[in-house]
Amino acid sequence: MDHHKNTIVTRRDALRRILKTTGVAATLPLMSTLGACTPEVEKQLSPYMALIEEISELIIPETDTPGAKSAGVPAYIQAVIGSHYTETERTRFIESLTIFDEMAHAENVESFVSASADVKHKILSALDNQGPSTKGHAIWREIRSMVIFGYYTSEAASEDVLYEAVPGKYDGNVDFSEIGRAWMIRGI
Amino acid sequence: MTEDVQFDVIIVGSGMSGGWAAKEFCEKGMKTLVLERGRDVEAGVDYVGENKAPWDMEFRDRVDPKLMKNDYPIQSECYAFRESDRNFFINDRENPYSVEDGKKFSWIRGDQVGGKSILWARHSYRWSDLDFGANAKDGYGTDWPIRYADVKPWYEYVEKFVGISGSEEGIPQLPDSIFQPAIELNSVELDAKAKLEALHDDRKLIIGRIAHLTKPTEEQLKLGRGSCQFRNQCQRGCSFGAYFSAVSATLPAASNTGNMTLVSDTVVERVLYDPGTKKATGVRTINRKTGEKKDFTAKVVFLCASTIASNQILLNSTSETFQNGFANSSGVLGKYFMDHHHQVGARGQYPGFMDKYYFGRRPTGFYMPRFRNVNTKDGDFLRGYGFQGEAARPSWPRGMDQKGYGADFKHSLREPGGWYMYFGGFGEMLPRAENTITLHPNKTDSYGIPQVHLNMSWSDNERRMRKDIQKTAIEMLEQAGCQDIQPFNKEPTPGLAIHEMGGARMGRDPKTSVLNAHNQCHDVDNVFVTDGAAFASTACQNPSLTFMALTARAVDYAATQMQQGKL
Repeated sequence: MDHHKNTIVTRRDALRRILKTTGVAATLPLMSTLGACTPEVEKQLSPYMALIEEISELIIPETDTPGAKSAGVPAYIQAVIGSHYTETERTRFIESLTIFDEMAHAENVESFVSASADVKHKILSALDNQGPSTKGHAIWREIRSMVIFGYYTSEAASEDVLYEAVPGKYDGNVDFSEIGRAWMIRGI
Repeated sequence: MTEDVQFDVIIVGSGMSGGWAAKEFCEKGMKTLVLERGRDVEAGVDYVGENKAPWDMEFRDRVDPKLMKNDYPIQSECYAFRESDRNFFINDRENPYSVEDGKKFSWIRGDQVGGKSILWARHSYRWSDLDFGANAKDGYGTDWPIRYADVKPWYEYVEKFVGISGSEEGIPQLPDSIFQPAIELNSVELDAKAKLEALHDDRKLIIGRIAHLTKPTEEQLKLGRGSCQFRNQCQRGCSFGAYFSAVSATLPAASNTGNMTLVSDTVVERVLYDPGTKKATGVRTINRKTGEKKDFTAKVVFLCASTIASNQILLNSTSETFQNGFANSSGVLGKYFMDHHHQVGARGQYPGFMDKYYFGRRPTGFYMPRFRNVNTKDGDFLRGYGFQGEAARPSWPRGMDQKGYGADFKHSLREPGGWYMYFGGFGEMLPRAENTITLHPNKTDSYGIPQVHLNMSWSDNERRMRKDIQKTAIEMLEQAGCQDIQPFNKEPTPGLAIHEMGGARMGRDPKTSVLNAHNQCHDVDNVFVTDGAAFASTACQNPSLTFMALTARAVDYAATQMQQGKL
């Protein structure tokens, strides 16, 4: 482990020097989208952000490493819904979210967000175990995928799984105990 | 309007082949003009996605689906298409082409200096006489006018400059290159190798041979290239210059001579022909920013525009002499168009080795060279295939397919899953006259040039081969001890192997081929085609190394002819 760490530090320093001398770091990409997250869309989404935050943190909670909330997952989801989704997809997504409050009502609670921890888990457990034809299955898989993807591509997740910008070498025969964590591979 | 400067050579295209033609001519002291239809790319500076962590990108390297649908419906089918390298893919909406009704063809294109050499998967394999002799043996296509002995010194020549990492194996049908140190197979791949090689004396599981520096030479270091850092984000561009591209290697070498003039954003409309001298005089170009047309003249023209684009230029270069396309007295121009077939094989769970893992992101997998129809006739199909594959442990994305949430779920993803292994075949496609590149009679592109019209389909030989690929992949996974084996066989859209070849094939007879043994037009001796268009068959190996070797070889021949006053 130490051996690898030393290598990494050296490589990082080397890369930093390269970036400084070539100015590569200064050339930021022009990442474009068709239809950015406008103030109108943000307004449309804002009533649902508390729910999205709550669900995100329940899926990937803070433990000895950061959870979805502090990893910025809700903002990532807002950006995707706001910018990458079409108006139709966005409306469908928002309408589908009502299942969480509907299930809370069935438990005699006003809303999912205001429910007790036990009730929240009862609802999520039901959603997680239900079949594909059930109402709520699609939105659960959709939001769950977004949370997992958003979390494991966040900087905070590099405390949870292993990220090395510049590994500097490949060793194909390492004891797992020397690495200790799964690699944070890029998602896509 | 005519350019005043007299160039010795015009090279159309600045990618895999064009970069080599530029370097070789410039180093021989020739005044060389390189014309590139795409925009300029400067190594490092224009690698806009490089050094970006996932969280540095708002959408974590995913491309806006609406943008994909509008501007990249074809390019987004490429396995490498992402937000961080989207700048190296052509805009489909702005660059239309035509496909035969009822058929599909996905034309993956770069649109820049360096072409697709920036985006390639870097696998580099020599061909052998099994490949150069294939057409003569079974009668499909026309015989290659060259054999391995003709190309071998040129493989050696380009490999020393390119830098290929790999292991020496002594396999006759996959001759060893001049290698830099091999990248490692991992624990599970070594286990599978031992099991499979013990059972099959005709098979070897080896590390993929890729154009990555693992022990750079003085020459490579001087060009600013260095060793691979195992980031495996090559298609974004690599400021270490660790993988070979025209931008990292051949074009800088050409530029260092002071003999190269590189002009980007310049589309070649046609090759110009003088019926009096029976030679090409140069090319007509269109500046894609201003629309201005401009003629450039030179003693020799090299077409390196990519398989399809070189065919397009030749087909569009009609004249009284060549009414059906340039140097096309044979009538075969645009025919015998080919690609590899892939997306067939199997995947399985590899038990054990839970205490083993790997460090770094390896930019290659394993390779199993062709073993069918090598020394004996195997099965019910002609030609053969090789396997590419990998053993690895899945990381967090498996969580999206599973059930679960909460702390236990999160902690379960801290460890990688159990090992899996897959074998994916890459098969040779038979050369057939009915697979064609033509020009559409009415449709034009935004420069007024007739659109290419592509017509390719697989034959029963490819389908029979695919059955064998799948069956053999399953068998080998079983023999390696895999469980839960999942075969796959998705008949690929032609073009998606991105190994297009043919259309202006080399051959022995001017009546049945466009080019001779030196990639020189039979009909016009000062025009050469040295990209994939020249190929008379596809072999089953990735073709780029052979594009490079044949280009360097053709330049050597042309330059000698020029020095002797024959061109």
